[in-house]
Amino acid sequence: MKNNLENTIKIFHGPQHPGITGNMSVELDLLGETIKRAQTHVGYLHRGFEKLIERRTVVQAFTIVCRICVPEPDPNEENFARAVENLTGLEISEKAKYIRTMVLEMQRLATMFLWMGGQAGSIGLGLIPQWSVCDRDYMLDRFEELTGGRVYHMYAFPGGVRRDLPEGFLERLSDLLDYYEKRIIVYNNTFFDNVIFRKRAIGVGVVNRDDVLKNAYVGQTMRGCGIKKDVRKDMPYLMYDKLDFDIPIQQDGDVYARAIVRRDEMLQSIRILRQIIKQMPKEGEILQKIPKHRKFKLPSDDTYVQTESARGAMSYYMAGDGSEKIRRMQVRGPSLVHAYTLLEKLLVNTELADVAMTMNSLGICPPEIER
Amino acid sequence: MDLASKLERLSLELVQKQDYLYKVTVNLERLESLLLSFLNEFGYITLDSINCRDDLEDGFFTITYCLQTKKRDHIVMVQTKIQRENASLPTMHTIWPQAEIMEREMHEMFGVDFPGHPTLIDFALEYWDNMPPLRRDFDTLEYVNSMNPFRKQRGDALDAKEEMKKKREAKKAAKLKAEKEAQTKAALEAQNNPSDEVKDEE
Repeated sequence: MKNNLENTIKIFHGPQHPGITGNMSVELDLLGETIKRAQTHVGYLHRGFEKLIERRTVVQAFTIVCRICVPEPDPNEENFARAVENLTGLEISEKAKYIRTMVLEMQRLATMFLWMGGQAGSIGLGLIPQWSVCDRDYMLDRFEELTGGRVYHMYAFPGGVRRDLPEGFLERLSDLLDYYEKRIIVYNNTFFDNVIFRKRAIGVGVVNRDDVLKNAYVGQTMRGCGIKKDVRKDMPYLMYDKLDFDIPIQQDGDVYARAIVRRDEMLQSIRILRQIIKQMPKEGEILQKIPKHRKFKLPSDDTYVQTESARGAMSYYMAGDGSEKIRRMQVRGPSLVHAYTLLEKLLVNTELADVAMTMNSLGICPPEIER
Repeated sequence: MDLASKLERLSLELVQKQDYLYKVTVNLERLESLLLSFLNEFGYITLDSINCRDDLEDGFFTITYCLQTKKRDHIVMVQTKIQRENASLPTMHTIWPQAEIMEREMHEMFGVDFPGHPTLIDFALEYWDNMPPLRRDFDTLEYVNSMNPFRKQRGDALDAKEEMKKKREAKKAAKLKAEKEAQTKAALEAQNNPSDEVKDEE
């Protein structure tokens, strides 16, 4: 054991803790207030999705993939739909691609607002979560209007999307983006520029830039270290190659840098959504007609797809065997490596009070780790 | 792609599957050296994931390592097959630290051994002593029934088929009874009011 654990006391941070990001636990060995060792434990929310999916058809599995990550279901739907499309050679229309891109960006904004609540709440800024959860709800209203569901949408189906845009939807979305632009200025003054947040977050949870690519850290953890990489730019999918946007980066690699990257990404999402509203085709098939879609057969082949979620690259491995059932689907979200390889290392020699803040900044979603 | 010619020199074929996705298949004996070549010579510094698929009918597991370069503009799947019985793979945690947790998960879910791995302990399942659950011959229904038997005297302990049969029979009996009662009633009414028939005869 590298650390000297003499005279330490052991406490469990989670699963019953308001500062934890979900159903997981971090076992901490403390010397005074300083963490000498951290060990992550999961298993409190193992629902066996990968086992469930291997006995199900595409239509049956489609309804459960969104539940893999509660705050961010749409990248899961996108990965699932795109993996099936890759395996079967399904082509989707331009309009469906635009709608799916729009949904992913709407989801990114909603997730960022929820993250902001968690991040601010973890250092005792109680007002921000109340505001940001309310602001997220306005986006959930739009999701409800578009898909029928607020949190789980079951919308991006292999071959397109399930419903067309409601009358006047894009105008209402545009109004919401106007509102969000004003709100981000308010959040900037009250949260990102808040002296408490700056004092707490700057210099804490610093990720070593040299470790990032080798250890597969993704998302804001990577971009907060000055590495300008994003799946939407590097391996563009849907309509991202037709849209103009930047990849925000910061250099310091600490909790504050990751927060600033997220704030800038919110502005980029608004920019992307504005372009989509302008470019959205009026006509077009929204869902390709699949013959016998209930007995839809996947060929004996495998594929690997990657989507940029609001927390980093999320990948799916999918294999078919010529039958109606999915042979194997494996989920690799950003949380697995962030919660184990990174968090266990990052917490050593930090203070107990910084655990919740560091976890939040890494975008860890425990349901996605154990599936 | 330059990688294709490099692999050709190693007598391996690179197959393009999608725009950004390539695949190379290798046997187990050459796997470790090929992964090291990908890291040190070809510049694939990121191990994104290790995936396992159970091909029960053919008696092997298909293992896929997904690798990326610094540019992150494509993914290469390095695929190998290992025997299901006494499945074992070389551990990669010394060169890719994230492999430690991925291999721990695979050990728990498929029972693949990784000699030299420092922490092959519980991942998501505590004190699991059954067959690794993601093997295809693991019977979920049998496991659930053996671990969580239905309590007696409860509604959900009833056999649905039997109950439906009983319901159908009861319904049929009620219908027969109602028909019989209607016939008896009609016969009694006919006995009590013979006047109509008498009138007709007259």
